[in-house]
Amino acid sequence: MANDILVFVEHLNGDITDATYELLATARSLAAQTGGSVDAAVIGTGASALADDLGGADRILVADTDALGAFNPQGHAEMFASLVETRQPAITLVPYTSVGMDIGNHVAATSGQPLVSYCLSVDAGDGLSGTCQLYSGKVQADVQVEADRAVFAMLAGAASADDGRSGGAAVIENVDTAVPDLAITFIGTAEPEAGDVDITTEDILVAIGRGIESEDNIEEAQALADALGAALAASRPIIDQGWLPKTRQVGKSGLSVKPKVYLALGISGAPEHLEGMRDSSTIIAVNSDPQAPIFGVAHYGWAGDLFDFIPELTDRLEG
Amino acid sequence: MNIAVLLRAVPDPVEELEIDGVDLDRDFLGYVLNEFDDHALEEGLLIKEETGGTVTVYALGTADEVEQMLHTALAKGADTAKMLGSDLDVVDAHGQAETFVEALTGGGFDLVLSGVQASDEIDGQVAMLVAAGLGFPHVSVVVGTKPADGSIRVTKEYWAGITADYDVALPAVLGIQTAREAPRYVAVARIRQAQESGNLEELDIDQPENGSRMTITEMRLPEEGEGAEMIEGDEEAAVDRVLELLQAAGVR
Amino acid sequence: MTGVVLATETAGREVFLGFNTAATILFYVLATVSIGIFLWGFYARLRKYRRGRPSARLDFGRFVRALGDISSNRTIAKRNRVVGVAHFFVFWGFIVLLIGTTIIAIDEDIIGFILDKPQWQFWHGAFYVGYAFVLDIFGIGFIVGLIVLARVRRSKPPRLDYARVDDVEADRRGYSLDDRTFMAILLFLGLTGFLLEGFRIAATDYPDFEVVSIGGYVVALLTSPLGETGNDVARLITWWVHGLVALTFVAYLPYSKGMHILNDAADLAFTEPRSAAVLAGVEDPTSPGYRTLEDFTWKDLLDFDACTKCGRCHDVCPARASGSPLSPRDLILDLREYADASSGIKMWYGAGAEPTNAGSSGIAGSVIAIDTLWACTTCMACMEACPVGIEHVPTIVQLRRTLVDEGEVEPGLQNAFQALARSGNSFGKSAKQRARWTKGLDFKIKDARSEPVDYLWFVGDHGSFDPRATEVSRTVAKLMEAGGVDFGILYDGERSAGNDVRRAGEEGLFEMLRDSNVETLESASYKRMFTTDPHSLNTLRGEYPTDDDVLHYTAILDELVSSGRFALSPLAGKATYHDPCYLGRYQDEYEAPRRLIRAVGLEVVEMGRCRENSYCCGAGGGRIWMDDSDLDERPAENRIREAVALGDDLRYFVVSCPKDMIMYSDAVKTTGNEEHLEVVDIAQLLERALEAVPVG
Repeated sequence: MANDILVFVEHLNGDITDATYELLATARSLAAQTGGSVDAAVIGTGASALADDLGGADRILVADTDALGAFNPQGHAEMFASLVETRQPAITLVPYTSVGMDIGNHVAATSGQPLVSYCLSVDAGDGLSGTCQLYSGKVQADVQVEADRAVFAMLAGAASADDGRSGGAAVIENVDTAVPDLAITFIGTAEPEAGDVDITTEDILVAIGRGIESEDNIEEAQALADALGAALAASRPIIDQGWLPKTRQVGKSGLSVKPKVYLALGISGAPEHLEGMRDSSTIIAVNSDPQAPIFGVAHYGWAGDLFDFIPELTDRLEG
Repeated sequence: MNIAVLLRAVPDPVEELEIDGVDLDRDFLGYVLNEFDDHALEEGLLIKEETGGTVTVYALGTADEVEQMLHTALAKGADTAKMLGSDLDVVDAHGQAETFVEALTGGGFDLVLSGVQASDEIDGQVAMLVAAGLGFPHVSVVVGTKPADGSIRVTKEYWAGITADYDVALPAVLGIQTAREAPRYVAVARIRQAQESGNLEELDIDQPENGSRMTITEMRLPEEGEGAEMIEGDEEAAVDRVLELLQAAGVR
Repeated sequence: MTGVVLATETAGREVFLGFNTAATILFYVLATVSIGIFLWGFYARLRKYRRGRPSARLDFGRFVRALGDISSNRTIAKRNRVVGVAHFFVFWGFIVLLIGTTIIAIDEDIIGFILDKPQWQFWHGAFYVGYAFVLDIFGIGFIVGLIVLARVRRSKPPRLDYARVDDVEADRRGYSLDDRTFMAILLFLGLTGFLLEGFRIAATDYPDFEVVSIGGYVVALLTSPLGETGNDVARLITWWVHGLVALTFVAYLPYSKGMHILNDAADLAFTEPRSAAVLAGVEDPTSPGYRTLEDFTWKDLLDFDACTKCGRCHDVCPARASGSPLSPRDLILDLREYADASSGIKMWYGAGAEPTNAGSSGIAGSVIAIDTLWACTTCMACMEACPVGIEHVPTIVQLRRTLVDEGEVEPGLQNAFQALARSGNSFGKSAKQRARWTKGLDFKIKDARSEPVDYLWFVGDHGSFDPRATEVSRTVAKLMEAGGVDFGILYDGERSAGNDVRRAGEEGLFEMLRDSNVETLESASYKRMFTTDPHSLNTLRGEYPTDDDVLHYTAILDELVSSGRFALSPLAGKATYHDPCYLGRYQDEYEAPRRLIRAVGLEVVEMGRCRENSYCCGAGGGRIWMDDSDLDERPAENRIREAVALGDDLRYFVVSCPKDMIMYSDAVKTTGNEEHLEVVDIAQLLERALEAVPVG
């Protein structure tokens, strides 16, 4: 209805993504403003089975069809667009992800609704408005939508995924699953090659530098990384010494990383290193030298001995 | 295969941005090619090298940077470059898409490529909006292609290195995230020669009619601290705070 | 020994003593054939050089300098006295013996036979005696020199190891065979010459005047047991053996290492020692650099043939020493083999390796591997070490130009090029941030674009953006201010000077940066320029159209110190000074930095490789932008180890180049020496020693 919130459910291999739960949390607070219901549309083979995990919604629209086995940028988009067409929600939420990008633009364009992208927050208090992030996060902009309805593509972290998980029993509604001829055919998925860790895709990195002093101490850092569920990365000197493989090198001649948390231990912060990690969401640095350049890019820092810090944190995580 | 590549100039990411009202202070702002568009161009050139055909590059506006961008594309191997519009104001993604659609319609392209996103696309992704305008199928976040007869195999990245392959019937629009190979280097002397090649064409395009239908009411720079917030106290205090931070970052 | 006064009026000898006419004719026929083969080989080489482009290298001053270098063997003796002196003896022995033979030919063949004027012949009497004496002395020197050189070779110094540094399979036994053959023939000719002389003296009953033929006379005394007839037979046999080997030698020369006798004199006469400092521009931007053999100049082609494989460039090359696939020697030899193969020239021992075919994109990438070309730091140690004037660095840059034109660029280099094209600095920073390093100074540096200054300071990229180097920039600013120097900078108007961009082969980008700087410089008002960056110094001095007087900052500081502008309180300890390639070898400035170090009270301890022979930090020629993680040992680490070996009491490793500060402050850590050795800029030492404000 005209005051409902419709959420696109993103899922892969039978798991609903955190991004979806964040959308549900956002949708819940919007529904409180509009007085509408939170509808979650789950599309694809096995969609029915996922309904159980969508307690955060009031109503679950299930399009369970073998015709759309895995995500299909065209099939899913058209199916979702037809739901938007029939349901006429006030607000349509999609995640700003690889999948959401295909969905959101298509739906907005075909339904003639404005699309608010790079969105950090939405408000339905006085018309529809949102706050967006622009220019790689260097600028924030508040936007006012000049229409009754709109699609919002939400950035990760706009709301808490946990808030979107909770909820009671939702109404399940099976929807028409007629799929037109598609120009796009799904072939298959591929996981990154097994072997060494891909530090560019890790959420948390424990990065060590010269401050680790000797190869024997790598073990201690590895124990911390294990306790955190993180991967171990390093600055160039460590790789040069042959203490860690080249696949773990962050910086100019290594890899650029953007984890959620970058814990820099004993890294002084040569520009070549900073180049490879400065875009990490949260950078926490521990270094004995309070003047170390790493503190210039870190968000949080502690000037102290890392051999005091590492065991303390490891113990607390394990304990 | 005849390929169109859409290029966009975006504020140079190395520049410090300043705000003027509800827009950037653009007086002294430098513009560069959107990095994803650079990858789109590279992928386009690689496909052309495999299948033959042409690469036509399109860009909006007539600023020096735009001209430079197009000459660079020609030097890299694009066949024709088209500069759209002489008096276009800065337009949003919807406006850009509308302009591109007008220019591309009837061009007989098999494939339209552009960067998956640009740093200023507050109202949607141009590549995908162009697909909608042309009525072509589209795939975004493409990290590799393999052209076939009448279709193209594309690899789309979901996240964390997980990818999916699709066969896409042509014509289609792809939002390229990374080309199979790093965008090639082209020597400055070659760009100068491209300037003299005369393969750059200027097309008059009307100011787009349909915008994003949203207004920016305020623009600001996010609050930023000077360097790290230093944690005081001993390692216990430090670990306390770090655990909080891990929680706040959503990894704990 | 019969008397003090020699009866010289009967002195002389017969050339074809005891020959019948047939034998004499046979000899002349053989001589004609031999010279014919020589001329054919010589012509083939000239034809090869003529394939090259023109190069204006005919210059009187250059010839005069070359004459000195050639006659003194100075370039060979440099840093290798034994080889230099030995070669000097062989060189002059050869020349004098050659002159001796030529005199006989003139006397016998031209005056005696062709002109038929026996009365004009002069090879007898007092002249003959002097002739015999001089030739014997030089002949002995010739043999001694050869024996010394042979012994040096036998000791197998690493520079003479012909093993390739890259993975290319090559059979280079031909090279060693050629070396040994060449030396053996010379030695054989020298020894048989004395034998022949001895037999002749003994067979002609020891004429008194022949005592001046010291070597021959000694041999004659030893062979006296053979009797007069025995000696005469031995003489005849030796005459033919000596003569035939000599004729073979003549024929063999242009197909062997022997050709270096001619090539190297020519190469020294045409070489331009500043060709790396002031690079040739690109004539045709649509086809930059050396793609085919025809793109090389004749001097480049001559360079390839001039190489004697002495291995000095191989020895000093920092790329080679750090395990890169580059040896300047191999680069030249590979190009030689390619040039020979494609000019139909064959050495007598056959080619060392299969001739490579230049790929469609040119010689770079086919004849010379791409990694090899990117490995060069353009430090110019090879050119400085080369005794025969080969110009390796400009050739490498020319080959790099074709790679850049093809877009075949090392990834790190590509990033730097793109950043430079976009914002004029290799750091990818906004041009507006260029003068940000000046924040933190308690005075404002003048903007030379808006107010006139005495000195315009060209800061350079690293001094403007790299935190390790900006610290030094601030120190220099404080010193200049304290010294009362009226100076200013160009603020955001400055761009990278382009020295290293040019040496990386991106000529178009260099021109773009240079033009932009020139335009800014024209808008500024200043009397002289100075720069903290030796690389910028090099290009500003030699490659900019401006005729500015450009100084290195150490020259100004030196002036301030010596004129008593600073009251210095001495520091204590030992320091070693690293000569930056682009300040020393490229710009010939060695003294001011050393004077400054002494002025602050430190004792200067020199590393083995210092001044002209300084060892590169590994950052030049664009290497600072490229990945160096594959190297066995970074040049900078090698250098720090060299300094550390000077003794535990060495406290300071003094630098005067921003790139050195970056490379060495890193290397001192990676080698684990930061506890006891401090990498410090001269300006920083001066700041520490500066107690009071200037006198003036």
